[in-house]
Amino acid sequence: MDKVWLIISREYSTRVRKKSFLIMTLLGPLLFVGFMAAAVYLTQNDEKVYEVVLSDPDGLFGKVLEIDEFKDSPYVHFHAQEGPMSDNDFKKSTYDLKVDVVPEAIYAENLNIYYKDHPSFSVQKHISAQLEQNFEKVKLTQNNVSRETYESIKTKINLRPLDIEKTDSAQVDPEIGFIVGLVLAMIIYIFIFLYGAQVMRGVMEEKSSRIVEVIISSVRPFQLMLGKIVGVAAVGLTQFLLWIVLTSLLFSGAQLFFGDVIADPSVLIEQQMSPSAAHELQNEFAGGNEAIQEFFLLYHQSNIPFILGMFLFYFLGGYLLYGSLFAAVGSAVDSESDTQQFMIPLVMPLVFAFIVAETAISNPDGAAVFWTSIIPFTSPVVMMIKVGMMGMGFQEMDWLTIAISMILLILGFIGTTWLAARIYRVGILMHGKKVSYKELWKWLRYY
Amino acid sequence: MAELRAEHIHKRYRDHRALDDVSITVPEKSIFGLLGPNGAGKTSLIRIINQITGPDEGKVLINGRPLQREDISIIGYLPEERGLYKKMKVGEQAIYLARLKGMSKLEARKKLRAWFDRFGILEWWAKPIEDLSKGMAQKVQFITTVLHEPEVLILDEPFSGFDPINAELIKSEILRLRSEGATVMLSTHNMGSVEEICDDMALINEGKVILEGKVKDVKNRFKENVYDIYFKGEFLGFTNALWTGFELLDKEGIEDGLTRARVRMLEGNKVNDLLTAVIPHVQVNQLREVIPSMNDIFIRTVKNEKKHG
Repeated sequence: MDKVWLIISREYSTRVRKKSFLIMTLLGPLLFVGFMAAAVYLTQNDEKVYEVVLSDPDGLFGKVLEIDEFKDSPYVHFHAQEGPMSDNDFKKSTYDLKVDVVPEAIYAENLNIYYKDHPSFSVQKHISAQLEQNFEKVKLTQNNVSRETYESIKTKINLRPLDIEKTDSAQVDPEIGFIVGLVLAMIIYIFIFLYGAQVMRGVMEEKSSRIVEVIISSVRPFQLMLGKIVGVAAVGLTQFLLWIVLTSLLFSGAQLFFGDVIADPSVLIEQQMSPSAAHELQNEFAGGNEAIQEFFLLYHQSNIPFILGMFLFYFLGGYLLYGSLFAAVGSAVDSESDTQQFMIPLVMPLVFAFIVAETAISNPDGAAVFWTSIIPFTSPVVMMIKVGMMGMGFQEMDWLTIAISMILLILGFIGTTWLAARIYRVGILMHGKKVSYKELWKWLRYY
Repeated sequence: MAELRAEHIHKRYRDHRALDDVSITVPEKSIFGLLGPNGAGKTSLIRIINQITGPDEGKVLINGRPLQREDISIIGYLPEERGLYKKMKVGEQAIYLARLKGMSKLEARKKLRAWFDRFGILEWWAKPIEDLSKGMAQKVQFITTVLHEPEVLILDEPFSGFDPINAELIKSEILRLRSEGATVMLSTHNMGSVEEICDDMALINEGKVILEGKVKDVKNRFKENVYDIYFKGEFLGFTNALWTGFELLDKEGIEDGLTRARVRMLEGNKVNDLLTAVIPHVQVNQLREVIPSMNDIFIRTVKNEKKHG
């Protein structure tokens, strides 16, 4: 056991000190935050102020419409232009956007806006909101309806799916459970690939540098393989933790720089929209007051220790299951180019699992999800969807399925480790031989 | 000090028989040469002794008791296929390998310093292996093999990859280790070194021991009562002088009328009989017994085996 520990610490310390580890650890969060910041920056980048001309050939302004009722935003300024404005006039003018406000427009569903520079989504949103509001007012006056009456009549419905079994309490959209599950599934999926490949390369390095025979004269091949797998896992967990810490640090830094925008997208919306439009959009996003309610609801019905515990179990279980197989592939080949034929059967179930997980939202209780969350080769990824749904309180705890899946995963990785070890101990001492599946089968049966 | 014994070792792979009832004894404090053509089963045997693989039948004894897992700490093994972690620093790596053999970090560091100093490679301590020349890396490898002062040292082709100067260095280190009490078993194709440093030997071919014993004895066993005699004078007179008790095998003119003739004694004749016979006819310059080299013995035995097997 001492020796396995020695191997683990060597694997860990040499990998953690590598330049590539440092670069990946620093670059990961930078890329992540960078992408986020770039996205925000791009949407915010309408520093250009759009001068919008509302051409008024029929003299509606001053009669039914008031230009002052069109609220400017920091990026959109409205102007009224009496009389018709031809395309050429517009081209020559200093305005950036033109809307022809004719009587028919008030009742139209589609309206053309002519541009010199394509307006961003948020600019369009602001203009359309202002047009809607003002046109509504015209219609209200024409129909002798007061704004108050209109607001009371106006109907908007958000569907909220409620589980009939849980009528006792208010409920939140189960989609959140799915999203939590999918994020966890993705992390496991990526982790298995990234670090499985590292195990494989590590084994190949020991084989091709011929140090392996020196080492297995001191330790059993199985100890060496296990030490490597565990060591690499520790590296992965370290990197993971550092990513979380660095990302949150970077986010707080970015927040200082960009203001509140990143933390709360509603600020961005509010800046550019009329209060009512913004309010509506905010409703769509979070639901205003309801958002706080929902948050507390989620907080109450979610089981964070369960989610974390299950994540950790499947994270490690999945990695161990595949890690030993990656080690076996590394031991069987002489060069990276020979790995391909053995990689396909490893990669396929994982990719399949991820596809099932992604599509699980349409039918999270379906047979595909059920079976793939039980079979050890796919369960680490697919089970996360169920964990998300159950852990966030959208599904009853299905302890039986969980138990079966966990037991099968444990049996699964014991099985693959045993299988891999048999291939490994023969493979690492075999040089200059192109290995086929038939050959591997023979190795398995050596005593 | 340890005596190493392999008894009736059998090892079969699916398509061939690697070892077939192999028994060898390596006496304590001696150097044992394991010889044989490529694919004879040397490495298979060595791997079994190092517990890398197990035998199908038979056992390995150390001081008369069966070899156990814990014994790896008293064995030092230099495999034929050897190498080091390329990116790892020399000193760090040597300490790691020593610790795998059960040494403490402190002890390993102390002893390594001494060895590195003696081999004149102390300044390489903090360099990665990939910066070292091949010979340099081989030295490091040798040090890591013997650092824990193993009682049993198993060296598979220890001289391959060394230039003559370094090979000489390794040879003297092996002799020194034996004098300090180590039992050494080495496999090699370098027959010269067998004659030079080995006390005992075994020749394996196709998984079987076909020749074994003390190197001196084996060589004597292959003596065929053949002598080289150098003389001046008429060759015809020389041949006439050889009566039926001698067989002329070969002759060669050397220089200034000097001739070398290779003669085998027949019918129990001794050197004196030969001299008595030829002295009246030629002037004898030199006479010495032809002792077969290990190389000859190797080739002859293996070829013979092929013919009969």
